[in-house]
Amino acid sequence: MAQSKVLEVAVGLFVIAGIAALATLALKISNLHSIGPSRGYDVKAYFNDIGGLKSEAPVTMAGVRIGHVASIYFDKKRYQAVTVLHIQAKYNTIPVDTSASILTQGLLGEQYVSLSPGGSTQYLKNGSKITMTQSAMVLEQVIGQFLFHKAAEGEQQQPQSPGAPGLPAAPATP
Amino acid sequence: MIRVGANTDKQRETRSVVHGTVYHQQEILIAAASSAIGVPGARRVDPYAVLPYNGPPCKKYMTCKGKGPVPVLEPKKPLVEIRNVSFHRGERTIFEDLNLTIARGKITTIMGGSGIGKTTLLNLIGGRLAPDRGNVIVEGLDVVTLRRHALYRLRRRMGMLFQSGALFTDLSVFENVAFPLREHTALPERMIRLLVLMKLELVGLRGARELLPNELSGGMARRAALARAIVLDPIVVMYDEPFAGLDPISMGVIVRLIRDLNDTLGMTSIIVTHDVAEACSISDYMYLLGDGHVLSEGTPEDIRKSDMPSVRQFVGGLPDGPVSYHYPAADYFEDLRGPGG
Amino acid sequence: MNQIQRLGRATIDTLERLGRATLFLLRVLRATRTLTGRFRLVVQQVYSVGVMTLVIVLVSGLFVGFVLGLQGYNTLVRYGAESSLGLLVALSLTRELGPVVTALLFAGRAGSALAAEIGLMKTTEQLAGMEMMAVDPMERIVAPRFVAGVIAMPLLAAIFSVVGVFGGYLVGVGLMGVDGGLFWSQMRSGVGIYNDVLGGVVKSVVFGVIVTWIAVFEGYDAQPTAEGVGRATTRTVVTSSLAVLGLDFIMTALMMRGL
Repeated sequence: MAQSKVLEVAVGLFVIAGIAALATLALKISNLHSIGPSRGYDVKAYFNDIGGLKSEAPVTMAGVRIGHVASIYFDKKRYQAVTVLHIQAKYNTIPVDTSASILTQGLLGEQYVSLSPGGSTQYLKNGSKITMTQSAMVLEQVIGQFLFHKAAEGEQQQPQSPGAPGLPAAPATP
Repeated sequence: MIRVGANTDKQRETRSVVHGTVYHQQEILIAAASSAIGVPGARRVDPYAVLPYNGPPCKKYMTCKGKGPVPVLEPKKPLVEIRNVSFHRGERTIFEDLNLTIARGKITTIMGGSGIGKTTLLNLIGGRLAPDRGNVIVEGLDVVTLRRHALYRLRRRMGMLFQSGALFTDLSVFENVAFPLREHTALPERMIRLLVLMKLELVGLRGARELLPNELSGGMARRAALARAIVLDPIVVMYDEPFAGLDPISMGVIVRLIRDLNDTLGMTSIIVTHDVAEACSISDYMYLLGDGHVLSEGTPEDIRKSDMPSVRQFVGGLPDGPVSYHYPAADYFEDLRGPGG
Repeated sequence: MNQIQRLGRATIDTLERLGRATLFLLRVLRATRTLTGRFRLVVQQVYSVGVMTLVIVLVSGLFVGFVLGLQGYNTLVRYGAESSLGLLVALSLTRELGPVVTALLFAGRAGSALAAEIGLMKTTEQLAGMEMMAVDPMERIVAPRFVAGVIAMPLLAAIFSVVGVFGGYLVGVGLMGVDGGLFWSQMRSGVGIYNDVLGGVVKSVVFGVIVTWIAVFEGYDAQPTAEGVGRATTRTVVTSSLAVLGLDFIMTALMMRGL
C-alpha cells in the first residue's frame, strides 16, 4: 500500500509539473497577457505604408511599452493601412495631436509603433484617430535612394563613366 | 443465494478426502461466498450462481448489458461437446470432422503427438479460436455463435492452466491469484484475502504468497497458476500440458492436485498431454487424437489394451509405426546420388 | 519471384498492416470507454510512461536549450540582433523542438518499453490467460497504456520547452551577456499563444496518439517469440520516429497556411 501511495504522489507531481509548464508557456513565454478583453482602449492610426509591421507588435512612448497593435487592415476608401492600437488603461493622458511612426528595433529588428506626444490638452480615448503618422522606413527604398543618390554624384564627377558605379556590398556586412 | 449442486454434496459425503483440510476449507469458502451477497454494492446475484457451486457474485454481472442465453443445468448431458469441428491454420488441416464429448465431473485426457492441435482444441473450447466448421457446445451454449458478453460470462466459469503458467510477472503470487476476484467482484479486501489464502493453501503455496513469479520454480509457478485458475471456482478446468517439464516430485504433486480438485470441488477437468503414464494414472476417460480426428477413445484400461497400431505406437512410445519416423522424403538412395546423378 | 511481384507483395503487406493497425486503434478507442471508474489503471501507466520519461526529457530539454542559446547567439550577434535570442529559443522550442524531440525521446524510452512489455505478455501467454479469465486485455492492458501515453506526451513536451527556454536563458544571459530583460520581453512579444504555444500543444497531443498507438500495436501484434518481441521494439522506435517527423512536416505546413 505504501508503495502505491508513492506512485500516486509521483504521478500527481508529474501532472502538476506538466500543467505548470503549460501555464508557463501560456503566461510567461507567450503573449497571452495581451489576448482577450484586457482593460484599455483602442485608437486607430492611418499609415501610408506599414512596412513589415505585424499585429501584436509593441506600441511605445518614449521607449516604454504602453500597448500593442491589436489588428491591421486596409482601408479601401483612403487607400491606407489602418492599425488598431490597444493602449493600456493607465496611459489615459495621451494628447489627441500625438503622432505615430513605425520604427525598427535595430537595423533588422522587429518593427513597432512609437508615439510622440503633442501639446493638446484633450486626450485620446477609445475610437480616436491618429492622423499624423510617419510610415515605416522600408529598407529597400532607403538603400535604393542611397544608391541612386550615389550614382547621381558619381555621374557628376565622372560623366564618361559607363552606367552605375560598382555597387557597395550589402550594408550589413561587418 | 448460492448453493452447492447436489452432485457435489454427495461427493463430499462419500469421498474420503485426501487433504484433511480441504473439506473444512470448502465449508468456509461456501460460507464466505454466501455472505458475499450481503456485501455492499452487490445488488444482484449472478443468475449462474444457482448452478453447482460458483464463485461470488460479480460486479460485472450487474453492469453486464448483454442478455446472453442462460444455460440450463442438465447434469446428465456432457459438459463439453465438440461436433464435426474442422479447423485449418493456413494450408494445414488441424482438425477434420472432430467429434468428442467431455463428461461432467470427470477427468478427461486428450492425448496426441506434438503439433497435433491439442492446445488449439482448448482454445476452441474457450472460444479464443473459432472453428471453420462445426459446433463447440459448452454447458449447452454454442461457443462459436456466442456474443462477446455471453462468452466472457461463460469464461468466468472456466479455468485454464497454461503450460507456462502465464502468471503476471509484475504481480506477487497473492496478487496473481487475487486478480480474477478483483476484476470480477466487488468483494472487500478482507474477503479477497480469505479466498486467496484458501486457494493458496490448497496448492501448498500459502507461504509463498509474497514471492514474485520469477522467484518460483517451474512446479511452484504451475501450482500458483492453478490456484488462480480455480479462484472463481469454475465448473471446468482445462490443463494445457500440466506434466511437461516437471521433476518427478512436482509431477506427483500436480497429478494429485488435479485429482483432488476434481473430486472435492466437483469440477470437470480436461487435460491435454502427451505423457502417457501420468495420463493413464489420472484419467477417467481418454481420447487419442491423430490426423485431425479421434483415433481411439475409452478408459485408460481400454486404451492400454487397444490393439490399434497407432494407439500401440503412441502408448508404447515406438519410434516407427503408423506415424512414420521419417519426414516424408524422396527415396534415400536417389537423394544421396544427387540431382545430377 | 521477380522484382515487380516482390514490390506488389510488399505493398499489399504494408497495406494489410496499416489496415490491421487502424482496426486495432478503433478497438483500443472502444475499450477506453471501460476506463471510467477505473482510473487507477491509467494512473499506474502514467507513472510508467510519464514519470519514467521525465528525467530524460528534463536533461535533454536543458541541453537543447543550452545549444540553442549558444548557436542562436552566435548567429544573431552577426546581425546585432542578439536581443532576439529569447524569441528564437522560445519559438524553436514551442513550435518544433519541444513536441518533436520529446516525441522522439518518448518513442525511444516509453514506446519501446510499452511494445516490449505487451509483446512479452503475449509471448508468456499472459494475454491469453487474461482472456481465459474473462478479462479483455484490450480493456485491462492496452487501453490504460494508450490513454496514459496520450496524457503524458503534451505534459512532457511542455516541460521540455520550459526547461529548454530556461537553458537558453542560462547560456544567453548568464554566459553570453545578453540583457535579461530584453530576452524575456522579446520572447513575450514574439511568441503567440495560438499559433505557437497552442500549435505546439496540438502537435504533441497528435504525436502522443501516434507514438503510443504504434507502440501498443506493435507489442500486441508481435510474433510471440523472443525474436518477435525484439523486432516489435525496434520497429516501434523506427516507425514512430518516422511518423512523428513526417506528421510534423504536414502539421507545420497546415498551421502555416492557417496563419
